Amino acid sequence: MSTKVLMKGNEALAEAAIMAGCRHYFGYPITPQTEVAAYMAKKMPKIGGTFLQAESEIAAINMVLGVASTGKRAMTSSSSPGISLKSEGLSYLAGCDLPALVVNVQRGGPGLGGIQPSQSDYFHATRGAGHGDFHMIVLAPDSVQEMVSLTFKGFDLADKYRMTSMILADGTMGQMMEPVSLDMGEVTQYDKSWATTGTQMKREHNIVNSLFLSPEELEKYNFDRYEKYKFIEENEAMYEEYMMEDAEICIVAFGVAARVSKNAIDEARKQGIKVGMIRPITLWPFPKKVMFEAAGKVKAFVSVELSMGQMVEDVELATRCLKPVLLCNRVGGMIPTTQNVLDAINKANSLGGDK
Amino acid sequence: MNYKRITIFAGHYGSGKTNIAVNYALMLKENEKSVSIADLDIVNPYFRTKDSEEMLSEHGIRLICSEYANSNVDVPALPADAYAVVDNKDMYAVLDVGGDDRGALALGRYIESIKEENDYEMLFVINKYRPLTPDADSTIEIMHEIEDACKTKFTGIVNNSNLGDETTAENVLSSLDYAKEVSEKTGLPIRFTAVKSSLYSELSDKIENIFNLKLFVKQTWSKQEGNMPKVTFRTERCKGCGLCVDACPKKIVKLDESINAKGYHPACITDQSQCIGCAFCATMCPDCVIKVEKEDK
Repeated sequence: MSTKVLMKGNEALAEAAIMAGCRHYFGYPITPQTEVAAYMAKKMPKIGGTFLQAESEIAAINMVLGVASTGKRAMTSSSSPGISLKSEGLSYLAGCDLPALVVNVQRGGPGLGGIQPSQSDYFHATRGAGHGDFHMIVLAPDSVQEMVSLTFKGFDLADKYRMTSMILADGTMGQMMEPVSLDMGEVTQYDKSWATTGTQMKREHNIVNSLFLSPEELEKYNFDRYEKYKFIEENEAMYEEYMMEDAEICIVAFGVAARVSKNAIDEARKQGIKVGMIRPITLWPFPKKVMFEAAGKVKAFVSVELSMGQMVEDVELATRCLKPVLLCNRVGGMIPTTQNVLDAINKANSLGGDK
Repeated sequence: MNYKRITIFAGHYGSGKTNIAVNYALMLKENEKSVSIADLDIVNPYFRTKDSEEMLSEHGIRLICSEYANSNVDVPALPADAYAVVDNKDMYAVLDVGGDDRGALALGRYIESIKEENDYEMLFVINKYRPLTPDADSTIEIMHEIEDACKTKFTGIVNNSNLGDETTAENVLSSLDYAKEVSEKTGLPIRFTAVKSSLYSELSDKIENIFNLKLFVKQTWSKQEGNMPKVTFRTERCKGCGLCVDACPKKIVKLDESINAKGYHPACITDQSQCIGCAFCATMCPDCVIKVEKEDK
């Protein structure tokens, strides 16, 4: 029998971070991610790590920047309004080329919004996390098990590319309880010769900085960084395909929306409708290639989201608008029902087109 | 099953207290006229008793919860009418207390009067498959933290060891020794072992004091067990009385705009996927119009 435990998404994520070698957590409570902080508060002192409830979200992310400069694995977590506050820090982390893990367990917005699940920080995570030209690797779990595996993956990718990974979960992922296996194997070690750990008078100073007053120099950093992003886009996109072999309609959904969509697909298949799903696991880099290939086979896409259609743009870009992209969405903390998705599938199915 | 006037459920965060409290209140209602359930959870604003509000009121159970519950006002608050539980001695009550010592603090406010009346049980809900309570000692540690926080000793144990949707009979059976060890080390009796409905018949003769646990809040993102419940209407027999519309706890039955052969607006279902298969509508229908099919796994 496998050794599984029953965990809340937030707890599982926190435990996974600890297992991935994170010993420095800085946070500030906000529903629906508070269990991450609560779990860290309980666990970190017992294993010689740091749990610190900062005076604000802004302070917390700057503490992460400090620890990340020394090459240690550090993380912070929050929910939508708190992540907005962290935006400045996200930009500085990018400007300093530092690895870090930032978790956003999204709730409804804008403004103070609500406390129920949402995916409306998609734009923020994939496009506008702060000022300046930069990207973060954005991972979207759809189960408590993936809250674990993607936390591991997030730290690895952050270290590998010296950049921020964000776990973009929704309130449901944080709050739902599911059995998980915590067996993730060994933690990979990465070269951190750039870290500011003291020269011992034996080497040149390592400097972590995002201020470059010479435009030539700053331009070069930006160009180099985008070379790296290009490589990541070509190599790190992750997705799951579900019943796509013969699909005529392709659902695109992540997180809780993907879970509901799977139920809807099973139901639609019983009614003889050929529908499948591509579930992006990385939202940046967006799995463009598989999406473009699917555009040659299906007659329409349906983007199922807990936002006003933010991902629709990425689907349209990836497929170069070859096929119509319908939106099936609920917002403000509401979750699409299986019926909502079934209705959208039926609508897509009634569209004309030979393919 | 014997019971006291007030039953308090407390335990580790995520041990399943709320669902047990709701089921226990339903059991009480089968035997008592006046039953209420009070949600004292000041820790977690997600997944709480209020989610079952319609179903509870359908059964005539009074729900006492903070008026802020499930609202956007995300504050820890206790309901003013929770004092009714203490003061109204004719009413049987279930108290659903928030997780861990932090959640149990809320109980401190009512406990003196409850102790004075001395017609209560305080039950410790345990789940072996939660990561912080995998063995008897760690479970008992949390138990003492809770007791300290609410200044009250537990009087019994509820074994709710489960792995959610994936729980097997084997999982439950292999938790019995754990529960027994907690019981022996604390001197507290095991009041019952909670088992989800789909495993109940398989385990009922293997476990002493087994409690059939129904899941009332169906999550739209969960894997559907078997097929969705299926509701069909023999439209031609319907006289549009609307009793089923009132009976449905999910409010998904309505009268259709169309007119049947007899000239009535017949009942229909708006969102099949929301159906929990309770069959209240079919039970209520005086004309045998409604059929509810549900696969029991």
